[in-house]
Amino acid sequence: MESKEFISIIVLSLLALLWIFPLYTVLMGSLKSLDDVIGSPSFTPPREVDLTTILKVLSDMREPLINTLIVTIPVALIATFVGSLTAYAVYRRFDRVSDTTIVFIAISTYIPYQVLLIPFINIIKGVEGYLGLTLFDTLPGLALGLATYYTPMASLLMTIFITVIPRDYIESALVDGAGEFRIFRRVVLPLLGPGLVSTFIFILIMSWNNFFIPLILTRGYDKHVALKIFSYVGQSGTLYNEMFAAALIGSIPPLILFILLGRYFIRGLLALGTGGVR
Amino acid sequence: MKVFPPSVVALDNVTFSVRSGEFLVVLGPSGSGKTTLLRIIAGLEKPSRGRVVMDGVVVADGERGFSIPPQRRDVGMVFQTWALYPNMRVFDNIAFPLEIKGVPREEIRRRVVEVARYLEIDDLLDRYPRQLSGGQQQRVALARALIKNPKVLLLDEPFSNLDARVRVTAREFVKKVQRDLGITTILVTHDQADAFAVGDRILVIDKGRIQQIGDPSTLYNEPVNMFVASFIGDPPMVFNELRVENNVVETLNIRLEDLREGTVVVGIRPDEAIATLTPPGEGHVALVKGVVEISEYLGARQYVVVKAGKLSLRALALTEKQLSKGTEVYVAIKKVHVFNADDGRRLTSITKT
Repeated sequence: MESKEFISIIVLSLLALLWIFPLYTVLMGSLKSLDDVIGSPSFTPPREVDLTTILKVLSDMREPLINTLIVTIPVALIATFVGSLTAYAVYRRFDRVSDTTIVFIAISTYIPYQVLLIPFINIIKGVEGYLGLTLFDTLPGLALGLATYYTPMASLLMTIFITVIPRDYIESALVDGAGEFRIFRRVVLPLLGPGLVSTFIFILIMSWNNFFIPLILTRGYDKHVALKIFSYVGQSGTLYNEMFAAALIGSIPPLILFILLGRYFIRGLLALGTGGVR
Repeated sequence: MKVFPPSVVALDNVTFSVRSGEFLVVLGPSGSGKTTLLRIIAGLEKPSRGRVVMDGVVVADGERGFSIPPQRRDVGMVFQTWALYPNMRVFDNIAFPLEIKGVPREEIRRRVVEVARYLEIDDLLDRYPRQLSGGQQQRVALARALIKNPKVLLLDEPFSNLDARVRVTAREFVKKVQRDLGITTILVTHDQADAFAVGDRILVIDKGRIQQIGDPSTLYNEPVNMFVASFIGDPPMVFNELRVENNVVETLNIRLEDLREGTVVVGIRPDEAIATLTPPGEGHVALVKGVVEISEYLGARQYVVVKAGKLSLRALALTEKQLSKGTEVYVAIKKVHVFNADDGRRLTSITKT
């Protein structure tokens, strides 16, 4: 083995350890009893493995987990789809209007959501009044909020991914007689595969981890996992072992998704690096 | 005329017409505007000024800012990269234009198989483009362009991505298909060999301007200017600037009537200058004696660069052995093109009749 390779393996292992450390402490914490978790450093193994906390929290987490899945999957799908439409429009126009649009989209992804909370509530209330629907404290309302917030990010990502597609394909389809929607559906979408998956995973994880938007758009703790985890922080003391268990359980679904689709995620990123998926 | 903002003039005052059933080749160096021209005909680009007329119908008018989109132009096009949709099988690639038109499924199948059989790709219909060789991909692209029986077939550098060996057969094939179908075809290329192999007429373009349009032999024998003369012919014509005194061109001792005193540019094709070791007989317009500077031995023939006084030229030598540097040779020049030294226009050509 070359020494260079050896060094890079060491460095990568150290980085991996660094990343795995929080997960490790969460796992240890959730296996401890309340006394143990308060009385020992967070990185020590439990004196005695105690599965009751995990099992208890698992049953508590059932509802928020299901709710979060119901909310975040459509959010990621909608944001990715709308994002790919935006990207196609920008890609096709390729002029000053599209340049300006993309700058606005990029800027809007930098807006901290704290700034948006009050306007968000106002708009949601306004829409409710106008359409006569209940959106506040409902799963569709929460999904709408998250989708609105993450669509610019998805658009930006898809705008980057779409540049990989050679323009010849689109022009060839034009000469073949195809209209814009057919080109988008038959030629562009299939070629965007890895980019779509990457964006979908990214938005799903972002909306899974989002805390503030569920906090202001819903009441109680059961409509989003982030809220549920927060619920273990009580005024009279924190149930650290239960909170650790909740955090552990809450982070598993995105992890499973990433393991299942990670290949495509990485392929999408690679496509950006090399400038082509062909 | 096409102007790209802010002020790049890609095409300037380009006017020509293509006859029905004709194979026209647009030949020019890179950056000459030839691809822009093709894209304007396809409708992928709008002319800034001027009109495009197809079968008597105005399809684009720069002054009125009007351009029929490519979808409604009834043209077929083969792109330089062939642009086969990588997510579709060969069958679906070829069927795509018909599918858009809403042709019934059985008819699509029948027509795809028919055109695929004709282009000898019917055994590839279930493959994906990435599983095909360059030559096969090109045939698929051609099939896709032909399937809807377009009025005009446009080919953008269709041979440039092919291996040298495949290229020769591909040219013959495209020419045969065009003849058989009698389809009006415009091909764009920077390669004169492509142009000569397939073109009924060739349009030479440079810096956005038409230099000359004509059949291959006219372009070869009567180039209008130095650009066309140097661009067409392989190996290329060699130019020398020579003085004219009393209507006689120096060194060559050629008599020219009606010439200003001063200098002219004389162009001589290597294939029209024969180098020999012994003095040749009749059949030349000028004879010079010089020394070999460089020889390029190609087996069947060799070209030698000969220096003869002020004249430097490349000549064809038909000797079996390679001529070495410093060998004295006679060069019999069969044809001389004379160009205006100021603007490069051809003034006259002299040949032994």
